[in-house]
Amino acid sequence: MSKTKEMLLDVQDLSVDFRIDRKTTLSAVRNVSFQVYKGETLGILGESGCGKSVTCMSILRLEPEKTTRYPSGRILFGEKDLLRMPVKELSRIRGGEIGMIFQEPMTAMNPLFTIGDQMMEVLRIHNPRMEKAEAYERCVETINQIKIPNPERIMSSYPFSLSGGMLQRIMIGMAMLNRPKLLICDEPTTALDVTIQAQVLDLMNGLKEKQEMSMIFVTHDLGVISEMADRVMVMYGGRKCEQAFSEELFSKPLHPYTQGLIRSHPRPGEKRDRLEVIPGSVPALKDMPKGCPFHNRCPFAGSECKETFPEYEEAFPDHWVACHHWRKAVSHG
Amino acid sequence: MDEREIMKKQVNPYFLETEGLTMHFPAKTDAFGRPISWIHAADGVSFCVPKGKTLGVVGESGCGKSTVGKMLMDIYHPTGGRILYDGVDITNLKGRERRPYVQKMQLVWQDPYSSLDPRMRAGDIIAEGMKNFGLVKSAAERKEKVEHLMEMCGLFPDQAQFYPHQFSGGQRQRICIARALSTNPEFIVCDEAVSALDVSIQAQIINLLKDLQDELSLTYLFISHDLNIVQFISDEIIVMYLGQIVERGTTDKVYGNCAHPYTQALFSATPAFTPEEKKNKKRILLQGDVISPVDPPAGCRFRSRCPYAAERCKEEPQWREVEESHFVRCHLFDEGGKTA
Repeated sequence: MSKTKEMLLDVQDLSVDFRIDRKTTLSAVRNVSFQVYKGETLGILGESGCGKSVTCMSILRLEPEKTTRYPSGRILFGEKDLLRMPVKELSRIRGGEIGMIFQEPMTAMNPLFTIGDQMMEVLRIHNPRMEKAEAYERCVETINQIKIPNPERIMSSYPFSLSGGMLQRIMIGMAMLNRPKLLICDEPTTALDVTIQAQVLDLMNGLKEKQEMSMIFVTHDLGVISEMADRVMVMYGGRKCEQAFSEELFSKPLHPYTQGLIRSHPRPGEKRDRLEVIPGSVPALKDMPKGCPFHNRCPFAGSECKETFPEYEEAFPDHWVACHHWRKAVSHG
Repeated sequence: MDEREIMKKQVNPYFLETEGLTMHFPAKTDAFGRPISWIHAADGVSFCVPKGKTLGVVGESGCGKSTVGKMLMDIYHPTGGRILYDGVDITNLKGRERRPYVQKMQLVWQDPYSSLDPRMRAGDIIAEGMKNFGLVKSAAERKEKVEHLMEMCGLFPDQAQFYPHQFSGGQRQRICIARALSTNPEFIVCDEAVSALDVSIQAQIINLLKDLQDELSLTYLFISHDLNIVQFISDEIIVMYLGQIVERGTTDKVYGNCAHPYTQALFSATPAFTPEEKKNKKRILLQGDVISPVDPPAGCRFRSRCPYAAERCKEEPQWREVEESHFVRCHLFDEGGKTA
């Protein structure tokens, strides 16, 4: 289905390295490819240190220029390759055609400027000829859209006087101001309470439909991702390990890591004495094992897993997995 | 119905009890430094935990769940109410009289990154409590006990030489648990003990806590905002909203048939991820804002966001029995009806 749709972003074989000092480079993301189609939400699921944030920061090259290297890969947005674009041109896209929302709404805002100043700046940087009054109007309209009462008062208040949920809604509003084609959300609701999270997610879905934009939604929360994403990509140790439509992924996970992740989650209304666990913990970047990064925690690992990273295989239509033993894993689960 | 009666009906015997525990922080002061308004962090919180069981405390940020944990540990001194430990009123015990209870009650914090001293080795962190309470006679005995605790918590004894930064988040939380166990406690408050951990590590720590409970017959107060985890580990649950308990009961009853509109919204807001669970799920989106905890008005504190709010909600709701060992504080149940 997705193949007939128009492609918006095409990430091909992306690798990201961080230079620590002259001798050491750590590779945070290795050979990750994915596509985002128009109007869809791609979820990226993974635990801390799996490279999910680095992947989406790299799309806008927000990682520090000096220490970050991209040994391979292309990020095609339309015709242009974002990885090789001059910074000047790229900064027109940042916050313009591609918007981004971060995890901590409190730290993402400047505490010294009012909400209005910060929102209007976003508009006027991308449209230098816009009158102040017009920018003000647009901001008020946006605040209304994100369902916060009393927009004029909000415009003149400082970030500290708003609650976390309100600020995150403002962040969403800010990212929406320039009508982006793609919105990258890096754990946008992790810092919020569940009832507030439900409101924010609902708002995001509503705005997305109205503006027909695409989203990349990064999170570690299985519930949130299944709510938001059309397709989900699971990452582990800097690699993509599985990708499928959301419903299929959660009902029929193929990769042993995805299976473990789903099973280790307590479910409502379920009686178990113990939770199933994935033994061990995510290896640090500097001790990432050779071969499949998951092999030392995997119940199905064989000798080949220690040597080579498995090829991506289309196990079922539109369901990709990178595992030598996914057939075994499926018949066991 | 009186709150005491309700508790008596629930379970016997209790191990840890609170009666009307209240914590008001001064919010604003006048020119002479006298408080003129108060933040009601906890208002009349009464519960009891039977020995060897787990009481789960659920609620969103600002509902007072951590304040309750801190009052039990004497980090905050309650402005009202009593704490009974095994029948003894420990609320106003100080210094030497309090010490035995300090030893028996321990705390596991949320953030394993900031709750360990970065300049102490893991072994010393675990041994500190034992030394303080004179539980070990010699260095050799201490070393042996530290190693035993580390093994019990799934760490390797030779890691005793390491500093906290050399451990992963999950391992650090294991150190925190080992440290809490080092004084031979009977009661442990777990304040969001797994919230900062990754999903796959969360399960490991929860299993560890359950195993330790069986092994050492520990009693837990498990504070968390994650409903699925609380239902997994707890025998009984209290749901808090703005400093008050709004619903209480055994885990199965509260989860199977949540009564209070807030609890219902809370449950419906937790996203499900398997297709069959998603199908059975109805979303209740709350509108309106949370009432400020500074001198909240009388009556139900949830009424500003409640879809069923009515005129009578301006009066303080009373405890009503929904079913056996399941209680709710909401006017919807005034006539014994189960309308919500």
